[in-house]
Amino acid sequence: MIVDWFDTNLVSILNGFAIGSLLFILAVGLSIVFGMMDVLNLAHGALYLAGAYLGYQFAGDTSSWLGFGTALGAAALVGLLAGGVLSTMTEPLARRPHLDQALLTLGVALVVAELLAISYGNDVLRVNAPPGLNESVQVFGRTYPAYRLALIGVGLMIAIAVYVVVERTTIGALVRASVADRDMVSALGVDNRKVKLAVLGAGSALAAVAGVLGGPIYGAAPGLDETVLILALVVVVIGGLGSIKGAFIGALVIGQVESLGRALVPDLASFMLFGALALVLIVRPRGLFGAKAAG
Amino acid sequence: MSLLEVQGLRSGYHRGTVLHGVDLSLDAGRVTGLLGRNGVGKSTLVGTLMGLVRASAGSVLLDGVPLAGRRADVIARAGVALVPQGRRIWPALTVDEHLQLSGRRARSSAWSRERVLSLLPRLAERLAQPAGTLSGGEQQMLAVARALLTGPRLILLDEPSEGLAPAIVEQIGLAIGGMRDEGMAVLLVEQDLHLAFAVCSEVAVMDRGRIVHRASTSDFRRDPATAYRLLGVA
Repeated sequence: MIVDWFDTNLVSILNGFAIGSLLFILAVGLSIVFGMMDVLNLAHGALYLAGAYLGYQFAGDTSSWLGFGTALGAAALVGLLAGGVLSTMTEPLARRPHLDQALLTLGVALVVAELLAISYGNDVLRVNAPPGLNESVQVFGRTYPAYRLALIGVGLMIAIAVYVVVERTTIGALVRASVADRDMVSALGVDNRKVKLAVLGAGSALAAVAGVLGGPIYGAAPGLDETVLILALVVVVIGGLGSIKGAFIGALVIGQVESLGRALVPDLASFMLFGALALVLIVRPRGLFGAKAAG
Repeated sequence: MSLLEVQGLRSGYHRGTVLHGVDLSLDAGRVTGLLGRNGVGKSTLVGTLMGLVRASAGSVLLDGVPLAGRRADVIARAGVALVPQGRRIWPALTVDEHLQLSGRRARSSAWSRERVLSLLPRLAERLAQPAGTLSGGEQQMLAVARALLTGPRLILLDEPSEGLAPAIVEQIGLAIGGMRDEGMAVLLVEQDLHLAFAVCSEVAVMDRGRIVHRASTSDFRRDPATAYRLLGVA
């Protein structure tokens, strides 16, 4: 019976992992920046959108590894630079409430999204998966897009890379110490602003890269920025601020809620997303792996 | 000239001013006890000297270099270190990671990792352990080690004996003696008068945001009336 259920829902489960992979790449930067520097970066969704349009720009017409690779490189670069700009912009607000930073970054997000809409129009634009990944493969007797399988793999590799850097290196220890108590990090002579710049840059680069990676599934279109921002915020709150493990588990949970939930109980799909959020907040206000509560 | 010269230092939080013009000087190779009732501004003074609470007026000179209003990392690199109240170790980081991070920006100093670990040997046995799983005493030793490894000339200790067993307090006292012998200036905020009197050569007493009394430890102990008036203890 379990085997039958698994067989029936295999495609939804795999889709859930693919969405989860994408959400992890998107949310991990948001989680660390918020957990560490108390910067609630609402421009994170706009970075994803910018990445998606870069995907269209370089891999919209034809399927090519060069185009897709160029889009990924350009997105990483644009994300890094944008992270630097955001870090500089939010610095004067460092000691002010979250709402001030949220308003500033929301303003940036609205301007960026509008500029992209003016440049590219309101249609959903197609982003091609690279050759070899733009076809389907057989998985346990089911036909499944190869690109989505590859996305699951890429998500896992990025998760492992981020985990190793954050949990096993001195730089990562600095980031974790900053999440726990950044005043004591600066009392050791470390300039917090540089740590914030590096983390916001890396997190923003990952968000823009996620935009390219999500392109072959969701395309590039106005409004995507808000959709993915809300999903990423839900992942961050469920996983816990500043936790890599939390972002990973949170992304997998929300991926399944979005995919399997929609397949099994389509009428309750939207409710299930926020139901999961409410449940975690009631049972564990700090999130599943959070070191500190949002507030 | 003293290593640290503080004049007219004012600071506080958005709720209001806490320090109303602190004057204080600290010499290299001496331990000064900072005493006073709860809420008189001792921790705020320590936080302001470290740059974690912003100074609104006054001057702080470390060896002639102005530090008031500078960022904490600048002050730390100038040679000031803090062992904060409540330890504030990073629970998820191992002891070893604490020591590695502390040494990253270290000024050249006599406090090598080996020397610190020989002074606080319990830490050497716990290098791979997450700091959050240490006992209270071990966490306090880690907070002391973290501060020493930055190679400070001035160390600020905010109630290091709080909640610790007498044997651990004794070790902390020995460590403070080691800092003094190394030529560091030490400012010790302390409620435990036994520890304060044992290691401090002089005491400064705070009341309502100012230093209101300063004396050598021996003179202060001979004057129980003043101690009672200022601290509420005989």
